[in-house]
Amino acid sequence: MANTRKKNKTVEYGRYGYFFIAPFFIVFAIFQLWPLIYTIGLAFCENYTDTMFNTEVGPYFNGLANFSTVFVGNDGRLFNTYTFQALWNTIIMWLMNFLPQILLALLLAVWFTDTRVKLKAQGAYKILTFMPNIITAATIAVLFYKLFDFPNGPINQVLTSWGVLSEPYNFFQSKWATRGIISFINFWMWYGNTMIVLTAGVLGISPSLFEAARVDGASSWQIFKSVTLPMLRPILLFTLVNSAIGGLQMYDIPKLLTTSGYGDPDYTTRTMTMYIRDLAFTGSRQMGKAAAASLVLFVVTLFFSLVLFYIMRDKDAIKEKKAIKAAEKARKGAK
Amino acid sequence: MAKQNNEMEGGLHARILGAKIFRNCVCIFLCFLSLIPFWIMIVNATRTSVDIQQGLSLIPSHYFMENWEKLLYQCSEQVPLWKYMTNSLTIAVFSTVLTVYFSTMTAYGVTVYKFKGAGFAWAFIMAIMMIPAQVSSIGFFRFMYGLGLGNNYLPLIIPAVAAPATVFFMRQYMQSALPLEIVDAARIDGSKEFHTFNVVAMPLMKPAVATQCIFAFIASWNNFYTPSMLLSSQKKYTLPMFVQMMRGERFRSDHGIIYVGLVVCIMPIFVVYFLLSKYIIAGVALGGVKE
Amino acid sequence: MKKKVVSVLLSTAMVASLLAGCGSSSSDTTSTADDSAATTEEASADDAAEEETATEETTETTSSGDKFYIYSWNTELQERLTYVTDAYPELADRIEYVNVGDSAIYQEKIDQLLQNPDAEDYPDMIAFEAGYIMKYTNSDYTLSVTDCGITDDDLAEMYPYTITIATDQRDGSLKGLSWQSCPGAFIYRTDLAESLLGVTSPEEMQAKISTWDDFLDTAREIKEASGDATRILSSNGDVVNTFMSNKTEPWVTSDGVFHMDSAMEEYMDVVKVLEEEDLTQKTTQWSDEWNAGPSTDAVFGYFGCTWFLHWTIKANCGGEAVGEGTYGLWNMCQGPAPYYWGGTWLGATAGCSDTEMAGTIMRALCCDTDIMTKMSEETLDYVNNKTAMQTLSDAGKGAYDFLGGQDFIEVFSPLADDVDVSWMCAYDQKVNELLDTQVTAYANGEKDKETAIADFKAAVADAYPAVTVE
Repeated sequence: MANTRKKNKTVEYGRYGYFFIAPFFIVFAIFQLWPLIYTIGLAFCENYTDTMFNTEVGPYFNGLANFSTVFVGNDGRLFNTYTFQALWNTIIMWLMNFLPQILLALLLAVWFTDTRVKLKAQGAYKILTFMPNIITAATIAVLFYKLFDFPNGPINQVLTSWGVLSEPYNFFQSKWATRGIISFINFWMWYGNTMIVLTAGVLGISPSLFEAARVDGASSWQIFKSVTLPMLRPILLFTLVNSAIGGLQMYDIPKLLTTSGYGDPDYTTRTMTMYIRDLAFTGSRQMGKAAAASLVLFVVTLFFSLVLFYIMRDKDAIKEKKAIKAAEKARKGAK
Repeated sequence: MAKQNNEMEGGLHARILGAKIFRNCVCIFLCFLSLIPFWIMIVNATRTSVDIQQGLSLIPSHYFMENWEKLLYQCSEQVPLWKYMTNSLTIAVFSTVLTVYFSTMTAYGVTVYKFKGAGFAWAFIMAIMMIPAQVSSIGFFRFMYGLGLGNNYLPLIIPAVAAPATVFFMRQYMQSALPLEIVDAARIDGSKEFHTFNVVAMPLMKPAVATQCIFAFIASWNNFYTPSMLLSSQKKYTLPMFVQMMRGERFRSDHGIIYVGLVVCIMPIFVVYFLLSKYIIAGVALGGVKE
Repeated sequence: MKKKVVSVLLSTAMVASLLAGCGSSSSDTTSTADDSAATTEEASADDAAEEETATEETTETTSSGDKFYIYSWNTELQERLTYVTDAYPELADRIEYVNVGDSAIYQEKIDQLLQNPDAEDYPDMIAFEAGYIMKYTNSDYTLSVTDCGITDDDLAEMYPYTITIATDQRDGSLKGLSWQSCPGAFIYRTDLAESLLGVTSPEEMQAKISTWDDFLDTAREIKEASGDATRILSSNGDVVNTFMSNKTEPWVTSDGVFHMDSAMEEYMDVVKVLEEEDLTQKTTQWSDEWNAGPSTDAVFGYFGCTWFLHWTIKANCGGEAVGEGTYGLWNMCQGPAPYYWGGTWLGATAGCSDTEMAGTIMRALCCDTDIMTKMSEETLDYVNNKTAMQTLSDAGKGAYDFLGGQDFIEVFSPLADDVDVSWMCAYDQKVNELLDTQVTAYANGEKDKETAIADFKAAVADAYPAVTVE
């Protein structure tokens, strides 16, 4: 009885859902849909500008030709292309900042919600650690470039005077040093942001749950493990997926940090979005190929996101759903 | 027996104290790292252009007023500084409000209601969040010029309604912070659906709304590329565009002015951040459901 | 609360429907009218702050017919235009100067606008940099200066290379004019030259660096004589412009074939020697260390041009008068080869709304000897007008205390005449950047020369699908 009434109500109110999501889809349809369809279409077209006399070629439909130049190198080897070099660079630099960023943000979130070891200044810590996120990437990049300047930048001076280095080191000529610096900047700019998102998530958890756990005599760690973390799961999923998208579309810092803007040294820090923009906006403005590379990046992002969705899935809820479905089936069968 | 207990408690206290000191040290170190760039920016705002170009310094110089006056002079020739400021504010405030309000609304729609196509709508929102925007931005600009919306604020403000990442966050947040029972209870009390959303659901979302307001405001305020591509009349330029104009002189740039400009640029973000931060740093249970 | 929400919703819906209306209406006038209406309505639904923007917008729409849009990426041209408006005050109100502020975004924005001739803010005139000027002058997006009323007489005083650069290679029509000329020289420290090399005059200095082999020998001599305290250059990249200006053929010839000039291999070799024998400070151009060079004894000289002399070396020399820093301790000589560096051109677009006005501006800015003499005297710009520069030199205005009294006009003027630009093409900016990446990798020992050249060609082929790279 109770079940049927609830069902009726859902049906009755369901149509309101359309009103609630309508503004999003209307605005999207007006401003973004056409450009998006246009882009997807271009991926299957030959479309570039002949620089010689600045004349646009195409768009002519050319099937999967763009994808073959994206996937197969001139020597005929699969993945031996600039696109995939950029993709590996992106994934490497993303993982290098993503893992420490999430771990530190989680650790801070644990510390800030720990009822036993109370940090009095945590309000200030929360505000201050977020601050790097306020400044534009351009300013940050200039600053770090100056810090690691060769041969007499501040970092080189400090390291040589401490005897860590015997002579100044040209960081931006080493691919791992440059990748490390880029990853560090991204880590440092974004862990505060991640931490704030997680903290907001913790604030959304009903305090009665914490109280109940405390009354039951649970330790801080137990509370974190069996109350905070499970309740935080949806927000944590958001954080992971959002960081993955942001990381795989990394652009500002690697673009602005190195002098040429091509991912010095020798393209080893060029990310996917840098390459896509190079293709689409400079040289021959190869829109078709850029669109194809964008779709590759989309598929990669989708893949990583799905993996995260799978890892973070709510096992209990799925079990429950299955049980309900089974029960419903049984009931229907009974009828 | 009692003595042993005391000892144990003493040990525990020592451990807690140790943890406290360690954690505070780590946090202070992180805060220190966060503040360095601000300090350097402020110091640079007090230095001459030539000094800035020749290296970093942590010690302030005394050219701030000179740089500030030069900045005002640069502005007054064309468009006053406050005009760039209000332009930026207009865009940032409107797009922040639109992003946060409509994203919450969209998330509420897919979370609370069961309707045909809800699953598809959700999958669609997630998919567009993952599509890299570089190439479609070209289509977007072409389209906006085609509509005669170049040099207009509308393409900078209205698209903020469709912000998939914010919708995603809001929906995830609702899963743990918005029990559907509350919506049902409101219905029984005779509350209309939009009223329930505005009066019952929104207040429960305060911490989420505050964080997303901060993020949306910063993103819009610092956005330089889209306005640069769309706006042509200097009277409509935003503050970051003005700072970039100072920078665009390249070898003739006055870096002192640029840094003063950057400092001016982050001030409004500070204000917004500090106003909203109380919703983030307040103790647990600002939004929580009282049961 | 509810009322507020409804009003927000309503106004959004209104704007949305109006926008949809814009999309279907084909005539331009309707859409601008619609759009200002949308803004007004939105303003009434929202607060007063917005209203202000709306009213401004309406006034602008009505007067836009007279606006003459000039696009550039910094204030340099804007400052020069004041000389035009001083002579023709009636133009001042019509010029709408658009400073995009970033030269990378500038090209993207111009490309976008040139494809929308109906746009209200379609440019009437655009500025070009040497690196990409040919992309526009070799296209149908720009207008010949003769169509703006510029005659051959107007061009008589210009340095020939500035004309060659802006000439459409398809039909030989001139598409842009420049008010400045940017020949380059080698700018060096006189005191270090004397103490380290025993050189006392620019002529002697020139003899020591007249070829690249001489240059490298002198570099070794400086390093040795100073006991590693002084290097001939600050960064390896400082030599690039000189080499680029001495290619014998363009990167891509008119048949669409890519050529790797032998001068470029020489360039790679010289950079390799500079790097391996530790002959420069190994900084990066425009970095802090590099900027600090002129104020110390660590750097012997820089390759620099007209603007570089005033804005870079002088600005960074650590003083503002003789006796302070290294002020007054500099001299110039030609160096291993003549070259030019930078410069800005101005041209009218195909859809220019007032070609007569474009002609007036170009003539005043780039051809009028009186105006240009005044401009050069006041701004230190090396103007693109032989008579103007000669007049200034004759009047003793060229003697420069920063150069210890050397007449910079006398040094630059034959160099400007000698600049050869037959090697230029529309591909230069990007191809040069692609080459730099590989030269650095080769010089650092990351790869051998063959690999570096092969990688360079691969990058060019990737950037330009229509170019044949063998």
